[in-house]
Amino acid sequence: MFAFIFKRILYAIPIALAVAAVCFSLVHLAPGDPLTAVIPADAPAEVVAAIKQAYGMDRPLVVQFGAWVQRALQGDLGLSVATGRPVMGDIALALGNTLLLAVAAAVIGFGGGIVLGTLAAFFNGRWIDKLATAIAITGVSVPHYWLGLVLVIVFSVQLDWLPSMGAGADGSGEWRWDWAHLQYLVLPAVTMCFIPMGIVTRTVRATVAEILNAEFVSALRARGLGALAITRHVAKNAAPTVLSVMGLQFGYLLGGSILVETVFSWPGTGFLLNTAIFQRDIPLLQGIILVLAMFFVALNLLVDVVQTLLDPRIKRS
Amino acid sequence: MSHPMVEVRDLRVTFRSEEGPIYAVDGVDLDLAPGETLALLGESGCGKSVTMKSLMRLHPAHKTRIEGSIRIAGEDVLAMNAGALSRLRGKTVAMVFQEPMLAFDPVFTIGEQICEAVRRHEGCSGADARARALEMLERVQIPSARKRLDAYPHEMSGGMRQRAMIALALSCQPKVLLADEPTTALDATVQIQVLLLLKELQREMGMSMIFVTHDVGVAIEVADRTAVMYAGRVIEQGPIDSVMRAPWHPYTQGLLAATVHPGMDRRQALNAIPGSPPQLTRRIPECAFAPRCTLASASCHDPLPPARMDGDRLLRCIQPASAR
Ligand SMILES: Nc1ncnc2c1ncn2[C@@H]1O[C@H](COP(=O)(O)OP(=O)(O)OP(=O)(O)O)[C@@H](O)[C@H]1O
Ligand code: SF4
Ligand SMILES: [Mg+2]
Repeated sequence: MFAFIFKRILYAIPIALAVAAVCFSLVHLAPGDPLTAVIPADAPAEVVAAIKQAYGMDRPLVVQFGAWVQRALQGDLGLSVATGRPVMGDIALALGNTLLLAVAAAVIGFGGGIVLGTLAAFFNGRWIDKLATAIAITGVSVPHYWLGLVLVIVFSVQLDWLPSMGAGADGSGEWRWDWAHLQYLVLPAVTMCFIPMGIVTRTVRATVAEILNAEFVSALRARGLGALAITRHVAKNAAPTVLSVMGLQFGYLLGGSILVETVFSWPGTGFLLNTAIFQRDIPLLQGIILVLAMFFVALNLLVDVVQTLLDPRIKRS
Repeated sequence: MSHPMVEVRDLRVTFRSEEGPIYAVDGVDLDLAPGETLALLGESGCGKSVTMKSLMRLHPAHKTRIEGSIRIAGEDVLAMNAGALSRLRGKTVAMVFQEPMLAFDPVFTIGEQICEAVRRHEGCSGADARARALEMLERVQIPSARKRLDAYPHEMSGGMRQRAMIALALSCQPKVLLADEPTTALDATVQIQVLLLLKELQREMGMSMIFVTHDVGVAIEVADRTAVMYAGRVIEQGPIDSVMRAPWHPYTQGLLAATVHPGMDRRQALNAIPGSPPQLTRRIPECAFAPRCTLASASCHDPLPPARMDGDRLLRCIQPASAR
């Protein structure tokens, strides 16, 4: 078992490196010199060269990449071009906020999706099923930044129930578990929960409906098992499929919240990414993308391992 | 006959489907005495499995209408609430399915599944249930039974899986075993072993058994009595020897003529009955066999009267048995 997990981690290393390489080269492939943002257009050539040397940008790309990876492994993602602060500190803070938002959205979205999907499967073809399917389709079809704006207009502007900007009253960015802070989480989390809820609903519905049609469910009933025991069997059979979809969706929640974080000025990685892009802050940009991508790789690894633990039919070789 | 273990009267099962109703079972009478084996015979689609599942009320309730009466061990199955029904299933009546690969939950071990059923019905501890599971696996002659407890269904061969399925079905000492083509999915040699095993266990435990098959040879091997089904009805029922020796119903006669069975002259041509069974999307009040029957007369197209008992045999045909 541990050998199997260890092996999966080994497999993930080349993937992580490839992802890092893509992150690194993306920035260099983009048009424009990474330093144009900080160097005045009329700066003398020797000043430009000096700045490039200071940032290590005069060396060959491969060397730059190696050095970048080496430092990244030690938690050093360089200095922000715009602020001069270490990129890692800013990212860690933002990542905490993004995780908070993603977990909140996932709890609502996955919870809702599992309940709706299960109900839809058990009441296949009846009105509950149709309602759940309608919610799911609406959830995945509505653009979430638009939904965010509508929620802001209704609940912040018109009803004045919930705040629409930031992550805390004092603006210090420090999170506390009280209503004064939690209320800032509500609207962005609700906005973001709809897509994962729709997708999880549809996955759960299809998976559970297929399992319920299987002969073994009939056989379980023939053994005198009650609804609870049968639900346990169905859940374990559905878990591998549903978990892999939820893992992917959680990845999207982490990486895909740029628009929502921008709409709600939520100080997470998406918001930071936005800032980095507009300020052409290359080290910050690279750092954020790298950290998010690594989370994605780790998440896939986790899903892979859990899936194998749950389904005895997957070979552990 | 002492008071029967299973008594089915005029069972009718109708499924609601998008294309309208399906009259899958339309008039089934069955009797099963304690310790007796009944072979349920009939070609594919005649409603054997639907009848078996109805005895445990396994059909989805909202899509199925069941009429008539089913009594098992003196209890009215159709009147049972959910609790009584789940106590009946697995405890009083157990089922062995045709394809054990499909009838086991693929993600739980054989041992876990047997233990779960035992604990459900006997309310015993996990250790006791495991001991019972092991005992059952040994009883169905699974080699290295202790190891097999922790095996998943896909890790066993077809024959072993079916033995495990039998172990599971018998783990709570049911009074009635419903075996729906338990050997059809197995290799010929394994088939005979499993058949003999079932027969032996049934004798040891004193169970009644309904054995579904379309193999006349198998029916002769295992059964005391037989019931022959055609298009959702039992058309003939009686002791297997006398039905095999002298089938009364024209359909049974045709069925036997189309089968090689012990004592039959091998040179005799195998003549399958011409024509095919009717669609069940229409309720058929008359004899459903009439379009294929060589004895059919004008009155055969009138509504079919109920079955007639004649000694220890039952016949559903307007011609009296003596006419043959
Ligand atoms: N849940 C259901 N909904 C609708 N129709 C059904 C359902 N179950 C069975 N039927 C129909 O009822 C008829 C009888 O089916 P059944 O499975 O009892 O046949 P069988 O005698 O067991 O045949 P086989 O020997 O092939 O197993 C078939 O026409 C089948 O299509
Ligand atoms: S009732 Fe008529 S058609 Fe049906 S089997 Fe008897 S003789 Fe043949
Ligand atoms: Mg069948």
